[in-house]
Amino acid sequence: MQVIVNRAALMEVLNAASGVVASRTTKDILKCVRLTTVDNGMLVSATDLEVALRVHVHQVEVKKPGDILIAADKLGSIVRESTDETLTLEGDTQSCHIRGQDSHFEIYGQDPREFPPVPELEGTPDLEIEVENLKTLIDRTLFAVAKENTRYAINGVLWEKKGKKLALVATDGRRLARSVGSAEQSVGEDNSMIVPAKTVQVIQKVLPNTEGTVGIRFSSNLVIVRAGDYVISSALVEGRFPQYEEVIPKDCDHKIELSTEEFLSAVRRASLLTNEQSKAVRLAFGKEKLVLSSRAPEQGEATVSMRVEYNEEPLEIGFNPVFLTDALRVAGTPTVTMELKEASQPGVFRAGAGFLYVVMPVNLS
Amino acid sequence: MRISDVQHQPRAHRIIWRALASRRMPHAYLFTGPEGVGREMLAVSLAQVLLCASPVKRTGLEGQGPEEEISDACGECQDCRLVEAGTHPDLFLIYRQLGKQHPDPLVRKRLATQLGVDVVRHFLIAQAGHHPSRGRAKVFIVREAERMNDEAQNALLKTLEEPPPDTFIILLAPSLDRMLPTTRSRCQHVPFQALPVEFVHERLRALRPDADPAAMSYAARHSGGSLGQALQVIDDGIYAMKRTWGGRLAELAAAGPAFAAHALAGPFEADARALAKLIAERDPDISDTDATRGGIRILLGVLADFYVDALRKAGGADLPPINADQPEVIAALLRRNNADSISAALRAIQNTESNLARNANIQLTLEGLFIHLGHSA
Repeated sequence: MQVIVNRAALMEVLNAASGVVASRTTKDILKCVRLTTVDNGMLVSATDLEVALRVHVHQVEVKKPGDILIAADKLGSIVRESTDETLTLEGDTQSCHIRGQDSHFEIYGQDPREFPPVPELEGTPDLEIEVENLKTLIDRTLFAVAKENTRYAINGVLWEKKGKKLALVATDGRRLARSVGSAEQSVGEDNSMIVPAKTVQVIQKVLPNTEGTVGIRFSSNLVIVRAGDYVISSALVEGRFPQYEEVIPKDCDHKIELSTEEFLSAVRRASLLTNEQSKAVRLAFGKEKLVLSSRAPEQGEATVSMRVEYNEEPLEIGFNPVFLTDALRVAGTPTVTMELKEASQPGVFRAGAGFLYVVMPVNLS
Repeated sequence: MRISDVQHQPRAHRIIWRALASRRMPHAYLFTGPEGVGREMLAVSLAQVLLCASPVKRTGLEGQGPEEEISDACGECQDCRLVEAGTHPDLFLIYRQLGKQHPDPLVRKRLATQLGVDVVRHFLIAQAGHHPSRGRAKVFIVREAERMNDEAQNALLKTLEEPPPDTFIILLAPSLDRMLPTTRSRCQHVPFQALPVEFVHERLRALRPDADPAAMSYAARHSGGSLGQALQVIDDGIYAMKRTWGGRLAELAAAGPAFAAHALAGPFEADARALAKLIAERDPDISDTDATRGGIRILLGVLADFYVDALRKAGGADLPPINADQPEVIAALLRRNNADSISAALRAIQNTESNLARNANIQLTLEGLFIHLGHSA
C-alpha cells in the first residue's frame, strides 16, 4: 500500500490507539496497529484481545490500496518526532517505509491476516446519546466498579437502555453509583449489558476527541460504541448484574441538603486522621449542625463542623471517607441531598435527578 | 493443527473424540502425562475445534480411532488461522511467566517460580468472566498446572466447578497426584502415555536433521518416550556427557573400592551446573535451586540408565539396551556385580535425588553416592 497522511491527524489517532495496544504481552502481533486503506481514507485498528479500537482517518491520500501491520510504539514515536506536515507510508506484509522530507524509516511488519478482527458498528445503532451526556454518565459511575471480584458481573458497568433513557450502574458490593441520562435516539426494545471497566475507561479517554452523538450497539456478547471516527468494541462481562434496585433504601426519614463543595472539604479534612485500622469518619448530626470527626490510634484526632439544615433527633453514622469523596467529586451539582435512616442502614446521596449513590455505613463501635 | 495430528495417544484420543461426538463436552479437563508427548498439542487442537467457525464432519482416525462422527476444525476459517497464529482472542494460554505481564509491578518483580494466585486471578478467573469475543467459546490452557500453589488452586475451584457458559479449562500436569484432590475431582481426567521410541526417533530425525545419528538414537531410547526430553538431550549436548560418564563408570567398576570414587563428585557437580545454566537460559524465572536440581536429575538419569541396562542383561531380559553404543560399560558393571548389587546401586541413585530434594548438601550427597557405587562395583 502507499498513502500520504497528515501527520497531526495520524498522531492523534495513534495516541488513542496506544491506550489499547497491549503494552505487556508475549505476543508481538498485539503490539501492532493495523493500517488498512478504505474508499475514503485509512482505518487504524488496535486490540489487546479485550478491547478493540478502530479509527477512520480522513486526512489521507491513498495512492495504492493495501493492508499492513506494524509495531505501534515505533510508528508512534516516528510520527511524534517528525516535523513534516505529511508523511508517506508505503509497505507490504514484510515491512513499511515511512518517508518525510529528510527522513526514511523502515519498520518490519507482521502478517495482517493473523491480527484479530476488529468489529465495526454496522447499520443503525440501538441508542444515540450526546458525547457530553455519555461522558457525565461514565464519570459518575466508573469509580465504583469492583476490581477482580469473583462475582464477575460487578467487575463491569451495567448499561441499561429504557426507552429514551440510558442508565449506567456500578457497584463493588459496598457502594453503588447510578447515573441516568437522556438519549437522542433509541431504537428497538429495552436492553442491558455489562461492559468491562477497562472498556469504559477507553471510551472515557476517546470521548474528548469527538463531538456530536455517540452510537451504541447492544448485543448478546459484544458492545460496540461509535464516537465520531472512533469505534470501540469489547466482549461483555458474563453473568447477571445484582438486582440493584433492592438495595436502594426507600424509607429514609432524614433528608439533609448539603453544599457539595463544603461537605467535600469537610470530609477530606476529617479524613486526614484516619488510618488502615480506623478507616471511618463519624458524622454526628445535631441541631443545625454536622460534626465530622475521626481518630487514628496513637496519632491523633480531627473534628470539623459545618452548618446544616437539620432539626430532628441527633444521629450518628460512620462512613469510609474515600467512598464519600469519590462520589462528591463527580456529583457536578452545587448541592447534594443525603438521605439517612439509622446508623446501621445505608446512606443515599442524590445530585439532581440524574445521579444516585448508595453507600454502606461503617460500624463505629 | 487437527486432533488427529497428535499421534500415539489412543486413550486420550478416544476420550476427547467421544466427548466431541456426544456433544456434551466437560468444561474442565486435566491432561496428565510426561512432558513432550503431545498434551499441549491436543489441548490446542481441541480448542481449535471449539472455536472453529465452520467445522467439518469427520469420522474416526485412519484405522486407529473411534468411529463416531464428530465436527473437526476446518483449518481454513479466520478462527482456525488465529488459533494457529496464537492470536485468537478467545484462546488463553496460562503459564507462570505471565506474571511478568501483570499490571501490578510487585507481581512483575517476583520470580515466577510458581503459577501464583495473582496470575490465575488476573489472566484466568477475570477473563473467564467475559463473554467470548467471537461468540462461540472461550478456552483456557494452563501449562504446568502442578505449579499452581494451594492458594491458586483454591482460587480456581469455583471457576473450575461452574465456569460461565461456553468456557473450557484444560489443565496440563505431569500426574494426577500433583494436584489438590479438590482440583482433581472437578476435572475430567485424560491420561497421556509415553511415545514409542521409534516414533520419537523418527520425529528427532525430522526436527534435528543435522544431529549426530548416534546421539539421536540414544536420545530416543533415553527419553522414555518424551519427544521434549529427547530434544533436550540433543540440544544440550547430553550425549557427549553420557559418553564421558559411561567411561568413568567403567573405570570405577574396573578399579573397585580402591578407586577414589568421591573424587567424581566434583566433575559431576560441574557438569550438572553446566546443564543447569542451559535450563536457566531457557527459563529465566526458574530458581537457582530448581535449575541445579534439574541438571543433577538429568545426569543421575544418565547414570541410572547404565545400571538399568546392566540389570536387564543380568536378568536376561530381551530388551534393546539404552546404551547400546557403550556395551563395554555394561560388561564392566556386570563383571563385579550381581542383580542385587545393581538394584542397590539404582536405589542409591534414586535416593540421591530425593535427598537433594530435601536440601541435603550437594557435594556430600554426591560423594556418598559415588562411594556407594565404587563399593558395589
